[in-house]
Amino acid sequence: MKSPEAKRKLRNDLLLILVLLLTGVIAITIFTLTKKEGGFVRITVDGELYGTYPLDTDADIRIEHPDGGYNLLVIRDGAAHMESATCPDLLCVEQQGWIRHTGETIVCLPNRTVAEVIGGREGDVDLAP
Amino acid sequence: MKTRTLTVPALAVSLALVLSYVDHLIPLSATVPGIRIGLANIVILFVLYRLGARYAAAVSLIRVLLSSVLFGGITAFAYGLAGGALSLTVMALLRRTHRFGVMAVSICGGVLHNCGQILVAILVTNTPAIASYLPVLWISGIAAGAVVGILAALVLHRTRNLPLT
Repeated sequence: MKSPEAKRKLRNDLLLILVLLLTGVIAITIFTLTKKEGGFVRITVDGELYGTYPLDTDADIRIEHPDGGYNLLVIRDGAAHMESATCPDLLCVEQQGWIRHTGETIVCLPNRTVAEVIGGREGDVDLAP
Repeated sequence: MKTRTLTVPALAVSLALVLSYVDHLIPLSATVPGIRIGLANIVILFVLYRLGARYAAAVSLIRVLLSSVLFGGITAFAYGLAGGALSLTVMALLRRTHRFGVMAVSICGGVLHNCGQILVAILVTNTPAIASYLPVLWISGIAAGAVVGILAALVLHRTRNLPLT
């Protein structure tokens, strides 16, 4: 019932999907293997540095914005989390969870605020797998 | 016949809007932050295959505009526009080759949609590190594109005798 053209399309489809899947799996593998616990969380507002805080010290950081709004970032047990914020969608508070590995971020687009874990814990770099 | 070329895309826009809303109701965000199935892409694919790329672009643009006015905001608009434009460009090009089925076209659309959104997030916040979410969103884009592809293929098959122009 299937024409040769339909068969060829099906084969192309499967090939393309396989390539896409492989690319994704390889990328995830590389990212997981190069992941290491970070030493600091760097906060930027509007692309400008707001402050850098060590992850090994528990802290509550209230990031004040010129429009009167704020983001409250808490650090507990080597990880950071957005506790509360004045942005309308609250994606940063409700959906982005805890960050502890280098390169992980919490992005609050409405307040143009980004918290990013960076490396730099002394002596840890060479030990990381 | 002129009326039809106006009403069919208009119907498509409203259908896509409803599906955008349904998308927001499905709680997938518990697994990966911000992911959606992208059900509205069923309509975009339908328009792309039945009316062509120009109509699909128009429907997609109006949908993004109205959906950000209704449910999102200016950031949702930037996200939606980048995702929509990138995904539609690739889908239209893939379709023109006549070498791939709706399934592959839809999956590539899903993946590129997520790439576009990541790109906007990087540009808006000036934080290249956000790219680390790309692998996860890449895979979820494939999954979402597959679901949409199955549904779009069904819709296209069942409406094959529908006169649209």
